[in-house]
Formats: sequence, C-alpha cells, structure tokens
Amino acid sequence: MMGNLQDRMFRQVNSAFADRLQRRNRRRPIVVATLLSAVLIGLALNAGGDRIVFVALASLPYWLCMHLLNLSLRGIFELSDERLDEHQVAVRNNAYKTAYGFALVFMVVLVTVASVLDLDRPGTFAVAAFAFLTCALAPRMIAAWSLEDNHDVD
Amino acid sequence: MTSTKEVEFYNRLKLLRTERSVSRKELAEAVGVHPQTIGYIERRQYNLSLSLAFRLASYFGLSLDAVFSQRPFEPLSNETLRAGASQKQADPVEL
Repeated sequence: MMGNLQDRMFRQVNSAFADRLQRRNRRRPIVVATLLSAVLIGLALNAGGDRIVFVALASLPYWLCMHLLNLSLRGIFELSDERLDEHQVAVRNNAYKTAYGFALVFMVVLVTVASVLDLDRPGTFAVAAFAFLTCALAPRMIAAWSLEDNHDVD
Repeated sequence: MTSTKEVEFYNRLKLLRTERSVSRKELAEAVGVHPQTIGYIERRQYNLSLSLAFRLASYFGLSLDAVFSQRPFEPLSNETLRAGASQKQADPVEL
C-alpha cells in the first residue's frame, strides 16, 4: 500500500509537469502563494458566521500550494530515502535545519505580537493556526526558495 | 585544521561526458542518482560523497584523481604538451 503510494508519487514528481516547476523563478511564487494561503486560513478562522465553510474553502489553496511545492522539489520531503539520491537528502536535511531556527524565531515574534495586540480568543486561534501552518511547510518553502537552478540540458 | 566548508572540489565530469558522448541522464542512471545531481556536481554546487566519486570515476574507467581534484585542473592541452615533452626527454630521437 505504502509502496504503491510512493511509486505513484515518484512518477508524479518526475513528470513533465513537475519539470516545468523546477526553475527558481517558478518555485518562489509558489512559496509566496503558500504563505498567503496560510494567512487566508487564519482570516477564515477569525471570520464570524459559518466559520467551518470559510476554513474549508480557504484550505484548498493551501493544499494545492503544498502539492505544487512537493512537485517543484521532486518530492524530497515525501519520498523515502531509498528513492532519493545523496544530493536530494542533503537538500532536505539542510532545509530542516534552517527551518528549525526559522520556526523558533517566527514563534517568538508571533507570540510577542499577539501579546502586544491583546487579541481575543478567535484572533489568538487564527494567529496560532497561521504559525502552525507556516512552520509545517517551512522546510519545503525554504528549500524551494533557496535551491539553485539547474539550467543545463543535454 | 581545515574545516570541511573550505574544501572545494574541482572535476572533469562535463569534459569527460562531452568527450565520450554520455548524456547526463545516462551517467546519472549508471551511478544511481538523479540527472540534476550530476548538474549540481559539474557546476560545483554540491560536494559529493566519496562513494559517489568512486562510482563516477569507475564509470569512466579512470582513477579518482583524474576526475576530481582540490585544485583547478589544468587545460588538457597543457597536460598533453607536457606529457609529450617528457616523453621526448625519455626517448631521445636517434640520428
């Protein structure tokens, strides 16, 4: 079951469509869109009325962005080590290392801002959701933002 | 003590591939990596492991130091000229 899923994912991340997302100038807009989609979910959580519907709708761009990030990075965060080569594993490990530091700073800043603003309960929940969603994809975003281009073809 | 960050490796992979008409994909398949990884190694954007370095050198049937070096490689024409000159010294032409 897991093997089939990995096989399918391996084919997807090595497809012609994934090839088109490999350039840094295509990866970076996806990173920005991912951050915006996390903000959107935060705003939806803070909305009054039918909050669940808003959150469900706002989650779609987030999941789409996550999928595009995975494709643009050839699934290095999804595939098992056996399906990756040493460079891909190194990129993944470096991204995790950087993301850990980023997440710590990001959380401190957000907690400080939230305490200064003295937010109400839904507001605090929205900020916490934004922080969680950003940190969850931080390694992917960092790798997609920083990985160098591979222009040469033969 | 030299830190690993300061160590930079030079290689002749692109030259060898061109000379032997091997595509990046063919080489990558032979040594078990993604074709993009070969590109990163060729452009010195990634310091490969010793194991992969041996696999690459052995694919071309060369020793490790013929493919990788810590100093920039001299142009092959210079090396050929020098090798030719030392050959002449070793085997002087009989008159």
